[in-house]
Amino acid sequence: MMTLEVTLALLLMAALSAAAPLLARALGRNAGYPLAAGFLAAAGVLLSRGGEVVAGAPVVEEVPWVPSIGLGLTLLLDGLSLFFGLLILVVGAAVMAYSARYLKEEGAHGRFYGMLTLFAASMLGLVLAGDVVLLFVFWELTSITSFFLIGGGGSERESKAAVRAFLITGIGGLALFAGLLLLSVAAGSADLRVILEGGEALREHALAPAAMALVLVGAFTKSAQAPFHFWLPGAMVAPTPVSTYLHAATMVKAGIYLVARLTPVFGGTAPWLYTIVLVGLVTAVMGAAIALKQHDLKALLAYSTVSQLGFIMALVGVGTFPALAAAAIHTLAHAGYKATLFMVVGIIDREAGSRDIRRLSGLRKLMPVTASITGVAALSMAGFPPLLGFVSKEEAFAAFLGAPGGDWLAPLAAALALGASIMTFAYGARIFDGAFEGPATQRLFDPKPSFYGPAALTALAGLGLGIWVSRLDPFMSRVASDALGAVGHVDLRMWHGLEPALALSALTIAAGTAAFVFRRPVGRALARIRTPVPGSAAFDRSYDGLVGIGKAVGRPFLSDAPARHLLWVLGAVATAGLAAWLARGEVPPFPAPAAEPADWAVLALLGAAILGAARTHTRIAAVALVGIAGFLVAVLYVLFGAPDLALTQLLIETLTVVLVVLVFRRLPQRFRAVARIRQLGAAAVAVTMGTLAALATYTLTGRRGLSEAGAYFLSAAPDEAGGENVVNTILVDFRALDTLGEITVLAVAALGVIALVRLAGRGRPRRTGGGGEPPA
Amino acid sequence: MSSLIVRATARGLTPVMALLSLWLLLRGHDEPGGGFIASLVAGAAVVLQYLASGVEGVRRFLPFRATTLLGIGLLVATGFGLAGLLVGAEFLEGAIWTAEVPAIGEVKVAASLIFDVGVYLVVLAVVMAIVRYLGEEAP
Repeated sequence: MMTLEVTLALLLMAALSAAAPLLARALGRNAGYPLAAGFLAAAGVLLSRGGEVVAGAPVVEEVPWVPSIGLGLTLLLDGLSLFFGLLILVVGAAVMAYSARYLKEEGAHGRFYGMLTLFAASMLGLVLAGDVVLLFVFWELTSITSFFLIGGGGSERESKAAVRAFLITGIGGLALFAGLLLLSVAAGSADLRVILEGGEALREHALAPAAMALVLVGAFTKSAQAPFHFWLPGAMVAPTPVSTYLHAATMVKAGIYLVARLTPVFGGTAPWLYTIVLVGLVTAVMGAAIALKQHDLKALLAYSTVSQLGFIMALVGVGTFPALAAAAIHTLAHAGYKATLFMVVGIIDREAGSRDIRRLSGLRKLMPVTASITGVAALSMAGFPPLLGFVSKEEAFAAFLGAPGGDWLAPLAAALALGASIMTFAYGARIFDGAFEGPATQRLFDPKPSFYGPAALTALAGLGLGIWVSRLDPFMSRVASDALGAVGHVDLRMWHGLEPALALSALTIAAGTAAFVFRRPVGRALARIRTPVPGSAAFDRSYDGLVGIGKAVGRPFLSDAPARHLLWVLGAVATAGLAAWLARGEVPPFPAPAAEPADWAVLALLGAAILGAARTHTRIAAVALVGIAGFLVAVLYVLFGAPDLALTQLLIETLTVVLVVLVFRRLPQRFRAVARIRQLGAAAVAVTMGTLAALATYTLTGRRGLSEAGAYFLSAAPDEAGGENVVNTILVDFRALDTLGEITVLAVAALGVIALVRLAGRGRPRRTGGGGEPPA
Repeated sequence: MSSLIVRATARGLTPVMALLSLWLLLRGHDEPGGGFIASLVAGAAVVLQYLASGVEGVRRFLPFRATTLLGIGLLVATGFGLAGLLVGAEFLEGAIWTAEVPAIGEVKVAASLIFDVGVYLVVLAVVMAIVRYLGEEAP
């Protein structure tokens, strides 16, 4: 029997996101606690299969979805997805519990909790997806929920940051989609397992290089790698729980997950190796250097996150077993200490009213618990024993030293990693020193344990996991094995003996301390280097450029004179009509005319009505005459034996006259005087169009018998659609989809009318008369 | 705009138009009529109310928002399509139901009548929206 735990976990998260707004309505900000419990329950459900996954038996669950096109909901739980899944759910639970105290007591938090839970569900779906199409759908969902979470406050600054983050990750998402499609075409299946087992044949496929480049663009944008990094610091306008969860612990790791996931396909190939390692390490060094210059703690953490993401990305790019294991363990360590630091900064911001280290001082004496939590997390970030950050950094150094590729790559990678780590140490010290040391200037206290509790737990996790790190061996080995597609074993411990990695760790601490002690000269030196942020400026330039192009394209139509718009449309129709007339082939002969005297009489009246409408000076007369013309056409329909059409025409004309009058009564009674030359021009256009229409009617109608489709509808209507009225059966049965589309358009048009009328009435006194002219 | 004569006419004519509209809707599958035309007749009744008693008259005649009607209409039409999927047919696939009604005999109904009702509601809502929003008393 097939069990469905993995599906169940995902469904549980989906149900939670639907329930979150209701919970928030009932419990206010405390809704975070039941949600945290729900997250942990989902983690428990995943863990129920954890034993066999770690033992090397991945769980695959398939739920048919749209079987007719072979689309199924395939979920895959192996070591890698279990690792990320647990990270998402456990950090998510901490963030939810933190939100319950971070958010203000009053106010509506339904949207916030709903979106945050929906994000968690999407993120979980992303790492559990066993199908690249499914993976992409969840990937986009995380971008969309991130957009709403960043821009949730609705201020201009937030909207701008949200749009920027969404555009960057959105463009990356499109590239990823193209890349994944190429990949599935090359592999012959969208199923992740088939792709991962594609092997040499897939690597050598003609589409593989393009697929790889596109996938990497997606991963780099999502994980904020240079030069796409700039959206991440901007996104820090979001509330602290969002920054903690999305922009430090989980969403930005999606790119890392993706690159790790696809390692069996591309890992070890030269372009993959060099691109990811170099982009990652350049990002790591650049992010750390910018972080050193920040005064706002949150901005500092943002650039630190960019730097750490680069560090992990480079490890995944190295793609050897030790490197992948180091990437996993560093991801874990980073999620722990960075989530802690973000939460602590949120606490400081709430309690002290500032995040600027130039204004904060002496908090160690005032908020000893908060200071201790920060200290533990900062030490882990800096890579101090016995914290998890030390183990992960040492594993990372060893992995960089063992990087494959050209002889120069391993030393270069290790040197860049060392540089980034030294700066990380320095800004870690700076966070602590800036906020907690010095004389106390404010009257402050530690917040209630319920507020700092989640941060304390994540900080302690970094300590506990560091001390008992060898307990993680089986799990981390499985994660790296499943990422690599080959079994290996990792031996995690504090003390590996006197190895090169230990020397690098020692060097990090020594040089980092020196950089901190001499922070003034270092700061001055850094200030002289202009921070390269070409990404941001280039983005703004191309954004403005695109908007400019849009404006230029739209300018000819930016007019409320109907004639301007009509001219384009009619001109196009006339050109096409003329071309069709010139290119017409052999047409069947025109049948003998069947007109009767009565027809001619109606036509004569019709002509008179139209001529009158064209020549009248008052709007009401024009509307009435056009209406009369419409009624006369209805009479023609009756004479030609089309009662359906006649009925419709009569009703439409009636309503049109009334509705047009509704608009016209706001306008002056008489038309504005128009220059003679324009009248002649309009007449010329009208006569041309009329002639063309007549020619088209003459050429196209009555020259052939019943069409095949017509015959089919006539014969099939009674039996298949159960109706004798063929027109109606076509509308509601044979072509019901068309009709559905049409009524949707109608509905949108009605909404447009409502919106326009409402907007016109808002913000300024009601219009008097039409277009500024005196009222009629 | 309103006068006693128009108001009296509207009062007499409106029930007739409503019946006519219903009749056109029900018979539309076999004879001239159908949701669109029937809805236009109902729309004409709305306009008549407007001419007789202004926007207030329309509000009394159909005491709900145009957008509500719009939503219901679209829901009915798409719901009909989705119901087809639920019973194992295609999206928007039709069916013919026959039932034995005492005293009348066998009655045949096409399932697409439900779809037609959706069309009816949407078109009526559009007319209603235009009359209500453009018909507000101009200065």
